[in-house]
This record gives sequence, structure tokens and C-alpha cells, in this order.
Amino acid sequence: MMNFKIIGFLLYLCLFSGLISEAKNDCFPQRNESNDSLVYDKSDIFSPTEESALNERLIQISKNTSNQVVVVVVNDLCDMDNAMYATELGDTWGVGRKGKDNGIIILIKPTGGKGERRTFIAPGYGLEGVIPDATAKLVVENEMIPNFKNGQFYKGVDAALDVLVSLAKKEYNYQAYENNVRKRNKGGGSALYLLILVGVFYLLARIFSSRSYAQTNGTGFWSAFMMGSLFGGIGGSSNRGGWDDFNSGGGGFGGFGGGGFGGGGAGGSW
Amino acid sequence: MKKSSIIILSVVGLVVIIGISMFFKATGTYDKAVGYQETTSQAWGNVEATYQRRMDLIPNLVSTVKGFAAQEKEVLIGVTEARASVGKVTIDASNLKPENIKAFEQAQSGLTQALSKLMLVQERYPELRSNQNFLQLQAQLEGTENRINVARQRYNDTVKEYNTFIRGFWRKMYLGWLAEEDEFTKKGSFESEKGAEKAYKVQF
Repeated sequence: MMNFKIIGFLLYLCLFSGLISEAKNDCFPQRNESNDSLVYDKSDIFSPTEESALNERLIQISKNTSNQVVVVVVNDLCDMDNAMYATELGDTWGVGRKGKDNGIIILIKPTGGKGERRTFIAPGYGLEGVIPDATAKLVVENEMIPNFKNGQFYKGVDAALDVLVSLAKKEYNYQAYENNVRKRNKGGGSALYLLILVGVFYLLARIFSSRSYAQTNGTGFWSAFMMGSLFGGIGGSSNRGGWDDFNSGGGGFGGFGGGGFGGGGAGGSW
Repeated sequence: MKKSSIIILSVVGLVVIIGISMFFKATGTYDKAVGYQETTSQAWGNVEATYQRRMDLIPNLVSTVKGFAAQEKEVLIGVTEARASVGKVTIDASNLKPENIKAFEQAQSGLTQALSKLMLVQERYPELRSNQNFLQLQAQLEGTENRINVARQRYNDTVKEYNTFIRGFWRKMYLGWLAEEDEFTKKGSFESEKGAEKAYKVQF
């Protein structure tokens, strides 16, 4: 008899504490301050290598641009829709710097049937101008969902980051991106064009640098060109810095700064 | 000194001490109540701003739909009229009574429904559905709707805190001493109507 009472009491406790933890913010994943990661993958959609590569990239973004991007993967949206979840999570965690409100939450809920798998890009207040809702929608529909449908989550997030980071850094504006997407959707092979264009540009740059190297060092053009190809760049281009400079920090991103979110962004389902 | 006068003095001293500490408690409570009220006013400002944002989108949206579906007169007029009637219902932040909030919410949900009919029109017009301008407006409208939800939710949270604060027994008494008649009254919050608010999110 005594045991039953104890079990009953414990059950009661469990039930009661369950009721308490239904509050909105308790449903959010707890941030582990010590692990300092910008990728929260509850569903294990990323392999360990992918996760660490992604985290490294996000840390670099945080360091180089001060914009903080967090990738959050959860199985459960706590009875909220994807927009509300991403917004409130970003606000609760305080992603981005205070005053600048320059955080971005990339939310992925990969579980459930067709149409229940959801994603959302939520920019903080400060980034709503450079990433308007319509553009966020395009990123979701053109970079993320096509890849997510094939289970290529890393590829999708990586492609989305390419666009979002360029937008946030104001390297190009959303209109340029929208035109780009439109062309891509019409022409089909414009990714190939881009690749060829980049290739041609790279070759030209190499030829020019080889020529100047050949002139200043008194060697022949072709030997300079070969040297350039072998040693990977002549004349200062060896230190590219930026995104590739993975060894510089190695550490964390220094924590969130209290950025605010107001519901901007867009999402989709697949 | 007599024994009785000592007792009287100490009683008076006690009363004075209690009085002073209550006075400080009361002013502190008043300051806090003012703070809570300010927070709700701010949150209300955000609610109005997001609804205003939706209003601003409508002329563009209506004219875009008109370009492809001019025969949907009823729907188009419905939106325009709902927009006009929403414009009439505005609430000052100092007057967030429950009945006012209710009237505001009713007017806005009329516009929500009119808009959901407008967005359903696209199913009959493939050209409209693939129009870039329309797609952009649709994304903006969805985003605005999300912002409205967030602003409403946050406003509700602040109102809950405020209402709880002013209704505590002691706090009510303190506020009765210091505040003017209608300075701290119960404020209204939005009722969640998840289904209605989400009606026109057409998923493809």
C-alpha cells in the first residue's frame, strides 16, 4: 500500500510539473551556454562533419559581419506555426547584437508527413530591410525546399546562407537576387553559365597576374603561369582571408547579444 | 514619565513607521503600475503599426488582382469596404478598454475575411497566380500577417502582466490612494482566433 501512495505522489508530481512546463518559453530548446554552437540539430539531419562545417561557417559570419545566423532543427513546434516559433525563439535567445537586431533564425522542422515538414527564415528587426519577406520566400522556395525534398539539408542551408549573407552584407540587393532567380527558373542552365563565367574570370585574372609576374621577375609568361597554377596564386592572392580563413579563431562566437525579432521573414512547407 | 504615556508613544511611533513604510510601498507600486502601463502602450503601438502595414498593402494588392480578374467585383469591393471600415476604428493607447479592443478586433477580422476571399480568387486565374508582382504581394501579406500575430501575442502578454498587477489586493489599495479615478483600469486583450487569422494562407 505504501508503495502505491508513493508512486501516486510521484505521478502527481510528474503531471504537475508537466503542466507547468507547458508555458511557451519552456518548450523552446534550452541553450547550452558551454557548448557555444550556432547549430542546434535536434533531429540529426546533419552528419557530424556537416554540422561542424556549418557551425564553423556561422561563427565566421558572426565574426566577420557581426550578423548572427543560427540554424535550428526541431521535431516539434510547440503548437505554434513556423513563423511564430522562429520569431519567438530568436527573441528569447536574443540572437544578434542589441540595438542592431541583426540575427537570423533558420528553422527546420523535418519531421511529419507531406506538407507538415516546415522551414522558416526569420531575420531580426535590423535585417528586415535587406531581406524583405518576398525575398526570404524566394530563398526558401528556390534554395532550401528543392534540396530539402531530396534530403540534402546541408546543401540547402548552405545555398540559402550564400544568398542571405550577401544580402545582409549588402553585396547585392534583393532585386538583383530576384532577377537572378527569375532567370535561373526560366533558362535552366544559368548555374552552368555562372560557373563558366567564374572560370573565365579566374583564368583571365591568372593570366594577368602571371604576365605581370613574368615582367617583374624576368621569367617567361608560360613558366609564370605554370608556377601560379602549381602554387595556387601569385602576388598576394594566397591570403584570401574571409570565409576560408578557418584557423583564425577556432573558438566560439561570443554569445548572443540580445537582438530582437518582430515576425519578419518567410517560410514554406514540403 | 508614566507607563501609559510610554505605551501611547510607542503605539504612535509604530503607526508612524507603518504609515511611512506604507507610503513608500504605495509610491513604489504606483511607479511600477505606470511602468506596466507604458509597456502595454508600447505593445499596442506595435499592434497598430502592423495592422497599418496591412492596410498599406491593400491598394496595391487590389489593383494587381483587378488587372487579371476585374470581373470579381464583389470580392474587390468587399476588400475596399472592409478597409474603409477598419480605418474608422482606431484606439488611443490610453483607452485600451476590453470593449474597445473587441470592436477593433471585430473590424480587423472583417478585413481578414475579405482578404482571404481575395486571395482565393487566384485559384481561378492561373495568370494571376504566376504574376511576379502578385507573388511578391502575397509573400508580403503573409509576412505582415505573421507580424500581426507576433504583435498581438506580445501585447496580450503585457496586458496579462498589467492586469494581474493592478488587481492584487494590496496593490489595488495603494493605487486607490495615489492614482486618479480611471488611471489604472483593466485592459482588454485579443482573443486568439487561430483559424480565422490563418484563413488565406494558401499552401501550394
